[in-house]
Amino acid sequence: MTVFEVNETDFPDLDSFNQSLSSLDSDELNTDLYLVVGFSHLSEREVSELLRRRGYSLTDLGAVDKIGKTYTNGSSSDDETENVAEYYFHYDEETGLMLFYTDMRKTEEIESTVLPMLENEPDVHYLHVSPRVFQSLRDKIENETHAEIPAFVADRSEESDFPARIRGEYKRTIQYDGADGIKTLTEMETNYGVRPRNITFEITNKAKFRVTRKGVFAYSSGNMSRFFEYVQTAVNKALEVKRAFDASSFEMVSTTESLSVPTSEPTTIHLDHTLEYNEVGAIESRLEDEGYLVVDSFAQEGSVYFTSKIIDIKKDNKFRVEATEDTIHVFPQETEDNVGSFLRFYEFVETNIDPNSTVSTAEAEG
Amino acid sequence: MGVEEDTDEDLIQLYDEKVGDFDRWEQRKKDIENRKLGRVDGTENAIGKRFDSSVETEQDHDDLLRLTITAFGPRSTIYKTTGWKLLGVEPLYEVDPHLRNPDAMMGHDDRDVAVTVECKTGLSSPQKAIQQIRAASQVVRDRSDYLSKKAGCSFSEIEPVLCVPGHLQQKAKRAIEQEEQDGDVSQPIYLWTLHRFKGDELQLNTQINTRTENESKHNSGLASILGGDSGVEIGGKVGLTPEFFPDSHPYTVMDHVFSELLVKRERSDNSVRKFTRGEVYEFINDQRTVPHYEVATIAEMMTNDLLVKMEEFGLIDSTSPESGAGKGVETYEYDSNLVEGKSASRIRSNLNEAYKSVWSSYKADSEAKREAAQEFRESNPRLDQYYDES
Repeated sequence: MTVFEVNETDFPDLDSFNQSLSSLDSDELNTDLYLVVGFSHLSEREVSELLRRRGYSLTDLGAVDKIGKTYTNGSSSDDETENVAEYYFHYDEETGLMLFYTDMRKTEEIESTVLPMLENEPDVHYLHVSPRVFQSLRDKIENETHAEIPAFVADRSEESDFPARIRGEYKRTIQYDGADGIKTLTEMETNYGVRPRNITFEITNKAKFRVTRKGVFAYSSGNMSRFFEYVQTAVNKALEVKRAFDASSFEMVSTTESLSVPTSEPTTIHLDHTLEYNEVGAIESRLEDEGYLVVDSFAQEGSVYFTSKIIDIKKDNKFRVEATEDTIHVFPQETEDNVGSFLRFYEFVETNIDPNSTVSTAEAEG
Repeated sequence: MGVEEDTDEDLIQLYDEKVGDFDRWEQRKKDIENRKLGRVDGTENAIGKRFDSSVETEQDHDDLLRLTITAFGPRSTIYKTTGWKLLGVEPLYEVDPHLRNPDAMMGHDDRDVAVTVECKTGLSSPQKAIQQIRAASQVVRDRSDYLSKKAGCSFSEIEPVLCVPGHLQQKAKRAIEQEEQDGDVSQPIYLWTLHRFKGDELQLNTQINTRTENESKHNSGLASILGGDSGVEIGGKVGLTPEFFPDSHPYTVMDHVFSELLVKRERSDNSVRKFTRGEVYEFINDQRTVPHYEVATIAEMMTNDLLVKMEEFGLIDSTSPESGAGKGVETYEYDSNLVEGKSASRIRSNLNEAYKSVWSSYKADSEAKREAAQEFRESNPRLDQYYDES
């Protein structure tokens, strides 16, 4: 299997590439058209280096590169088979947006190559389609004249803090097919405290596509430009978070001739619900489960006051957090930016602490 | 010698030399020990709790100090508007760690004054705190030439400050008033309060009954910026984020140092269960870790103290250098019985657990000896006399 063909060798910009996709016939695609979205703080050159290090070969096609790699799968060396995964890749250095297009299989090629790279490499992270980002897509779909959510998967993790009317102590997954998904999803969220993992959107007679929590957008049929509009909505929402992080900083600044002090400008996460002192212990152990070391953590009861250094083992980074009942300040501790690590931590906050949190920088607060 | 005059050392010596020889008393000592460690039904691990609480007290102090120096950082509102800046943290620690030094020292390029700050997160004996501040001021005064050189900012006068969290404000105020009522105080102690739950606000307290409002204010720009109705907000702004201070709890220092070392080793090809003295020293010898003007000297002292303690606790053992390393490279490995694990996170959590557990055993052992010896004395006055005369 190979990725679909395009008929140009030098796309002047991303729009021209997207337009060329619109002219593809559906029988030219192996499966749905997948668009995997991620972010990075690296330069264009560094991103290419990262891809090469991960075994990709790159062919320059102007605004996009055709990239491909051979990978092996199979549980033991006996049944290992060699496979090829191919994508068209676009990177925008200014915004840090990474786009991987392919019509290969999500559960095979995509989940064996690009997704683990976005998840595990230090300098990148996938677009986490949080409940808030999903909400921006759901709001948009509700504003269409005729549109529906014909299917969704939503889940609730163990020890979730999301409010649930019915037996909130249970871990659960709900898979739903039905022509009334918009309303049902809202009802399931309120009653069963689930959050969306995968939603299929259908704009009647115009377009049908799916969006998953880990930043995979899958176009099935209809007008592709309507699909791209929705991708853009999600990207814009996620970029708000990245921009807030971009304004944070860390540097050594001299205060006297013989003393420089570590000086850090934080990103602030504003919580929608109140953080309680008795939640702190559980949050710490969840952090440790997710590949963080919580170092020198100190919590005080009053309302709540919590500070700690956090080492992100997965994304090779460290930062300091200082939390009160309604904010978490995240102070970078490394001179090099690491947006991947921040996005991973913010995803942790959205998943485990507060799905409706928002971010800002110290500057924005005046 | 009366029973009540015994020191702890006397009692432990009595146990070691005599009491422990009796099976019955040895058993009694073990019972006391087991109770203290929560190993008997219906008891709790009181020693373990005391360990947690002693670490927390120091963390609380570190946090208060970190926020206080943040208010005077090079990007702070105070520095930008008044020119008052941080000169040093725990100055003179490099001269002698046991000197009564202040927690932080602030200064101004155009003023002949240093502000010395003592952070207190508890005031169980307020007068002692006041005496400590006076002693620290004197120590700084005696070494003002040395410190002026180190800080590159000369001063001859000192304005001592007591800095407390919001809930101790009234207690601190009464302590200051008490000192002024009791005697002739030529140099006032200024009172700062840090409100941590209110967005980390630092404020000068001017309502001290033994003085006029003006006497409670610094004779500088600090008066207006800290002395207003709301003080200076620190929370969520540019912060100073050192890892720890020279006087931080050894457990806290160990947690920082070894979390970093373990993760770094796990990422490289080096054995995760080994480390060198140089790695510990290099991590501490960095002002982003310890914000001290003499960081190299401090790093040497702290590395030594930490490794000596960890060896004494049996957490680490000396081992031969790794292949490729020079012969003289001081190399250690985590003790295979006390600190198991193959991954950074597992070793780190076992190391922390083992530190606490060994500390608790030592503590329980000496306290149980003391109490057993005390009981022995009370029930065997004649043997006691024999011991005294021997």
